Amino acid sequence: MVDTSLAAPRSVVRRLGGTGWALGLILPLGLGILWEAAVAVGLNSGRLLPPPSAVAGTLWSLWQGGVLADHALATLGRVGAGFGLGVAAGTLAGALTGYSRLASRLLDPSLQALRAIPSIAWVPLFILWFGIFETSKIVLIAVGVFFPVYLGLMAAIRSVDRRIVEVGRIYRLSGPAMVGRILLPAVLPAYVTALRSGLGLGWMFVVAAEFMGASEGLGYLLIDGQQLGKPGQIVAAIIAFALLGKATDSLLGWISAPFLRWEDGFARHH
Amino acid sequence: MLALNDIGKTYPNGVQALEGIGLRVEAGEILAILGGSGCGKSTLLRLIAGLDRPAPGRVVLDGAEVSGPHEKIGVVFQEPRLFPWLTVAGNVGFGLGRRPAHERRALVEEALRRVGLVDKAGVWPRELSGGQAQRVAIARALVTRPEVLLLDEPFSALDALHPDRPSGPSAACVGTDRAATDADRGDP
Ligand SMILES: Nc1ncnc2c1ncn2[C@@H]1O[C@H](COP(=O)(O)OP(=O)(O)OP(=O)(O)O)[C@@H](O)[C@H]1O
Ligand SMILES: [Mg+2]
Repeated sequence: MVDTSLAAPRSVVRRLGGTGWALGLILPLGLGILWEAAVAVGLNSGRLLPPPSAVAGTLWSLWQGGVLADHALATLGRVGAGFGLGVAAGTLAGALTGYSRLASRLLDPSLQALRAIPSIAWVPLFILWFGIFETSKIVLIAVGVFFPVYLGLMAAIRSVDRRIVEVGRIYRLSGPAMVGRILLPAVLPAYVTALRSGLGLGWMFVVAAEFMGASEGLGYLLIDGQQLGKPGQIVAAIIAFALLGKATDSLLGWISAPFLRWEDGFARHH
Repeated sequence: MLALNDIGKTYPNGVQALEGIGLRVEAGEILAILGGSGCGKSTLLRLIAGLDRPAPGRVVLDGAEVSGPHEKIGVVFQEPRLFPWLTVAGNVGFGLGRRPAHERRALVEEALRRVGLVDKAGVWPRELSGGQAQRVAIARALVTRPEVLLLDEPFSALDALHPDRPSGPSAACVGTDRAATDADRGDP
């Protein structure tokens, strides 16, 4: 009983969806080719913005010497440590304030006040407290990761459907069973979203942290490229940031996907 | 035996949902509570289920006051209230707690057979129709073999079980052997 008048536009949408990623490539590829051509025919020297071929060459030579991998790993390690720390603290605080009204009254006002401070403003203090090496960087990243995780988890726990919790009460679940069998699965989608925005902030803050002074890391490559006048290296580092950020975000999505198969959201139907 | 004497319930917002309700249900008896929308049927079932406390009055089951959810009392809410993260079988087996897995599986299958949904055991709640979801909720309440079964507005689901039967309170006895059943329905 397929109504063709309805089926037709839907198949168009589906066809567009299938090649949608290719459509998205037209603009960046086109601009890249234009720029490449402009530099090739001498319209521009390409000294401030090297053409894609030069950027690719820089990326390749950085990669071949193992330099890129070393710097990327240093940055990845900092993000990993800061993310782990921020997620642990944010999860603990979010779970406490979401679950207990008393904890919320006690902790939330202070945490909200701290949140109002632009996190980069902590940098001088962190350097005084933790020195200019790894600790202050990781703490800064952790602070950035903390708030989205904390807020996301607290809000998710508070908005768990009371009617579903009542089913748990009918079966006389103990406190831990209520948390494990009802609250945890109920908040998981929002928690994963919070983790992903935390991770995004982690990647943002690692740049700030590496600007504080680092001898390795992709942020160091940025600064080094600026000081030595190597825009190709800067663009190469930016591309590496983009790839790593996307890869780690996809990893989170991929790990959580099997636990969220039940979801019935807008995204599933579009 | 389930007994309510002169119970009332006033919600914190000042709505007096129930006043001076008394009733008595013997083992094997089925009681249907009929009334218009908003007259307090769900509220009454919540008090019997132990989800809310009446004031004044007491709910007494087999001589003991019901002061909270009780293992002998099973509930099917007005909405299915299935856990979206569990399959149909997972939902039905939710209340079976620490029983061994094979026993749990057998009980779940039997309960699903009684509501005619064995073939849906592995699907997610989002893939069910409204009536099917309500039947899963009925299976979830039946599987623990409660002595008192509270069914809030179950007739749409029960009609789906027995489309040939005229709907009415008699349909509420489906699937309960020794259970005293409180059923209610809103205005048609
Ligand atoms: N949580 C609540 N807080 C405040 N008032 C409530 C609450 N739940 C129900 N009420 C009120 O109590 C009265 C009885 O509600 P109840 O849900 O028991 O009605 P009902 O008989 O089940 O109606 P329906 O047939 O529409 O389900 C209504 O006036 C309703 O507005
Ligand atoms: Mg009702």
